[in-house]
Amino acid sequence: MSAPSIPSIEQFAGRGAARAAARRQNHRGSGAERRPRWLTYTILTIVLLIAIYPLYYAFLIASSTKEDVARHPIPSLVPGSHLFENMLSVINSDIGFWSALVNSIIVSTVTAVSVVLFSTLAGYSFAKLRFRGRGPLLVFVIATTAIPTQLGVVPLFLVMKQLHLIGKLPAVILPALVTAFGVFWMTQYLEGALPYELIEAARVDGASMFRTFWSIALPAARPAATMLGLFAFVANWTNYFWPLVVLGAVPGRTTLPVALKMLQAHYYADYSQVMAGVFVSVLPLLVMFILAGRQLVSGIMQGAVKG
Amino acid sequence: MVTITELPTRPRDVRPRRRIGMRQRLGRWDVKVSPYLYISPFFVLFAITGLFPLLYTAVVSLHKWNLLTGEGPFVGLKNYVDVLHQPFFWKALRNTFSIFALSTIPQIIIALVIAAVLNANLRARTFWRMGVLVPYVVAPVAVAMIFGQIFSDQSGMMNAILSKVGISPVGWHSNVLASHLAIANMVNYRWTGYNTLVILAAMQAIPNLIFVIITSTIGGLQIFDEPTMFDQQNSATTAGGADGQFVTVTMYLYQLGWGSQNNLGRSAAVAWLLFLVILAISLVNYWFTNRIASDSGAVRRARKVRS
Amino acid sequence: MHKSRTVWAAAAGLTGIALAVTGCSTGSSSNSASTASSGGKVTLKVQTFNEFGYADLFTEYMKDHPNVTIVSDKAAKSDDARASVKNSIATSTVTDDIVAADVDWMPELLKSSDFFADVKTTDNAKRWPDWKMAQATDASGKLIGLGTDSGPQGVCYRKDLFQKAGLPTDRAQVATLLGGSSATWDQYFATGQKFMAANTGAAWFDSLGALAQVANNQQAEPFESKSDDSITVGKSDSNASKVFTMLTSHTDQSAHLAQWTDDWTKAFASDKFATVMCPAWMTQIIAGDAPDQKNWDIADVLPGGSSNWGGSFLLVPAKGKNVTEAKALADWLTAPAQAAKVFVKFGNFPSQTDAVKDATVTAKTDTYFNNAPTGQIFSNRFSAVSKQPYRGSHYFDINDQFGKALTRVDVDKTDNAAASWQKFLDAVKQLG
Repeated sequence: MSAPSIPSIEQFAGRGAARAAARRQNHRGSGAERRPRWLTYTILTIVLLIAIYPLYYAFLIASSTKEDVARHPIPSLVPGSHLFENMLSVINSDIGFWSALVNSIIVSTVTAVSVVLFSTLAGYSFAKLRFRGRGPLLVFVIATTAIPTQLGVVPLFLVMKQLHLIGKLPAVILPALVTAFGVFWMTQYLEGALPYELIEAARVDGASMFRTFWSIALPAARPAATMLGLFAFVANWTNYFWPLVVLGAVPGRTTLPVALKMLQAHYYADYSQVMAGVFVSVLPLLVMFILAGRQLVSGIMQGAVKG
Repeated sequence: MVTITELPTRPRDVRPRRRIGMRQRLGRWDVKVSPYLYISPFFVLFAITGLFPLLYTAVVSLHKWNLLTGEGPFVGLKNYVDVLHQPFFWKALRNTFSIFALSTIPQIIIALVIAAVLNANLRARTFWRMGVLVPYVVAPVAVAMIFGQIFSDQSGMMNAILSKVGISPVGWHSNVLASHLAIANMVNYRWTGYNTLVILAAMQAIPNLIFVIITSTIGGLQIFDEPTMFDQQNSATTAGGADGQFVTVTMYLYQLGWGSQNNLGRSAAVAWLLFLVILAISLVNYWFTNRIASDSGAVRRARKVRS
Repeated sequence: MHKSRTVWAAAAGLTGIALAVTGCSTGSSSNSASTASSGGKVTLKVQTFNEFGYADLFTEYMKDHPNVTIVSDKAAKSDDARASVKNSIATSTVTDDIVAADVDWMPELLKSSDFFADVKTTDNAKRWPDWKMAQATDASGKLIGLGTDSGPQGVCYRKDLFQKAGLPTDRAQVATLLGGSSATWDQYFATGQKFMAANTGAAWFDSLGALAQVANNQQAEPFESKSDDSITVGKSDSNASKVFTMLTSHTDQSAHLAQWTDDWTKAFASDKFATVMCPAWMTQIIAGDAPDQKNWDIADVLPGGSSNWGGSFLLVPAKGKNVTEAKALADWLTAPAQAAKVFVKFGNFPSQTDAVKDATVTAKTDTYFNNAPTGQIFSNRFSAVSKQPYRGSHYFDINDQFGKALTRVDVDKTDNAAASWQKFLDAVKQLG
């Protein structure tokens, strides 16, 4: 099969995909001049060094003893030899590390999948379906993001109490099941990436509304959805305030950030252990990045055509 | 390039026509109800976790209300008047806008530049993109710890470096502007990479810069974690510097409600004031970006092609 | 297309599983607070913060009471625990069967004393000195908290720096140097002047704010009048202004290191200051922050007489499901025998009169402080504490502003003493 023309891609897969395809074709035609030169890589290397340095700083402190930390405000760039010892002390301390890890995985996975599903559903509806009140409702969704989160602690706690969820994981999951950001994000994406022709074709074939969504919209949404899922996963992985409020700092029943904060529950600060905790908490996310990185980030460009 | 910000254009009617019968009636019902059904998860959840807290807070703000002893007499707008007469409120508002300006503006500019670089036809594209996102996965608690060490007034790394190059040490916790810079630094560190990827997505498929602007505006004006943790001397109920150098509005509302005053009434009034400020700014933002978008001929042409 | 559909199906399935897992894991170990279940078995959830040293005691109690399961809810910071207690009062929710509270938040909790059970028994009514009981007794005489530890204060000092400055280094001599049982602030600062004159490179103390904690606690009415709860700081000869003037005139002896900052914790290992006001719990901080620094010692003396700083209580929410069992556990945990055990192992100094005299307590020495008899020293310092300063409705806000006023002069150097005092008065006016 020969490569489809750009306009026909636009017809079937939306403008984003068409642009991407145009870019690809450009590269094919005049790739040599488009390959960025050393300056670009230099800039990126500097950016990357800045991005990674604080994490490396945590790593340096996590791998030395706390006496070293007190002595040298600027840690030497060579890591010490106590990393595993400090990481083990985090894992074996009384904070309930493993159950906190499992709880965090549950909370982040459920919320990420749910955010993606509900946001795509709502985004599809806002972008592609016709119904009364569509415009005002979408503006309303955006306006809800302006509500300060600190504002809701007492009333939200009352809600969770009514639902008998205090101290339980669903109390952390429930408020995060779908976000205004997600709805808006998917609306904007599907608006451009999902051609009406595909929807119409499915409808003419006799597919129900939901079936149309499931087999047409959802696959088309995948590139933006993976990224949204990643953001939601990380946001919930790092959330500290609300889990602390509803779950409490109970070893075995809380999430990872709250558990790690318990490492500071001493009169004195053991920075090397605390930083080892930081490092341990970031490690699973870094592994996820490495394993799923390509899927997650390059999806935006490639996915739309497949849909 | 990335500024289509209007609501989606009115979609075509995707209802299949000219068929009647039981199945068709069901189908019609499907078509009518489905759009609402799809957006309902967001609205149901919002009613529980967003709207109720918002209204509850409104009621609290109109009463003399102690966190511990509960509802007192109705006082009308007295809490709002009291708050507006407190110099500390204005100090907090000043700090919030200052930190916001020092973080959001450079953040978006830098993110735009990095996104432009990343958008080029790079080798090892995934590696660079994931690398940029690394700071986002480091929990705020960890970021605060790392930057707390770096910006310690006497033993910190930053002042150690400054003194090595002959610059006298900076009072990161005492000087207003310096403290705002240090806090903005923490914010920028964590969010620039995130915004870079959102902008990158905007360049490639999701045509929306307003996203970045609205979400960072809201996040910026609700800033709480970073400045609270930046104050190592005081607890969350008294944090913000000995002279209120870096108290923000959300910190102020937390301290009114959960500090020794337990004045939930005033705290709720501050929360509502902040909500209104954010809403106003977001709407201006939205309107402004829309204007730019509809003035842009290129965008109009792009629209015509599509519809 | 086909592939992506499988992905979605898998994702949907995963959510289902995860939801099921959530249901299970929280369903079985469900409760926020305790559940009184069948067979007389009870689960008691105990919220503490920092380190109360209860892990071993919990095990011991559960062994003796097979029907009791104790769940520890250990907040990292007193801040978090305080917010949690307040949220539960605000929403009338009992999340823990026993909650620990710092003396600093007792005045707030006493205003909602209905939320807590009366924990006084004929057995424990004489367990603590009057000043400790008063901190947890409401206006009607109801005792809502059982005292755990206390913070009698001595002076910790650096032997090596004292030697460098030509001062005596033996702890008995240092106590005499500072005035022994009639130690005054004047003598403390006069000695500080001598120390500073020796140019060791170190300062005499860490910060003015740290000294203010002691000096204010030594006033009968630091900020408010006991008779009508009115704020007195604005008067020209108020106790607060005297303390402020005394402290700010010795800024030159300060290391300008605000308590709890990274700078401050790191300074214990280096040569930044020679003395620090030392409540019993401070010894753990010093030993933890500077394990290598072998020159810290402690003297049985305190400028201005005696003072207690800090200490906590165990409270039992009245609407919990197992109030009787919770009271029994709290009573047992705060009994002198248990308090003595906690001190020996963790260093939290008891507040119970009998525990303070207990042989295991007074016999305790601390290798970190050159084998100083810390048990005996703090026992002496504890017995010297006789009164408790009056803490009115605005005590903590004023105290916070007072500390900040000193920080502005001493650490931040953003204001001179007079300007900072004026800001303090303005801030106090805004309270209400």
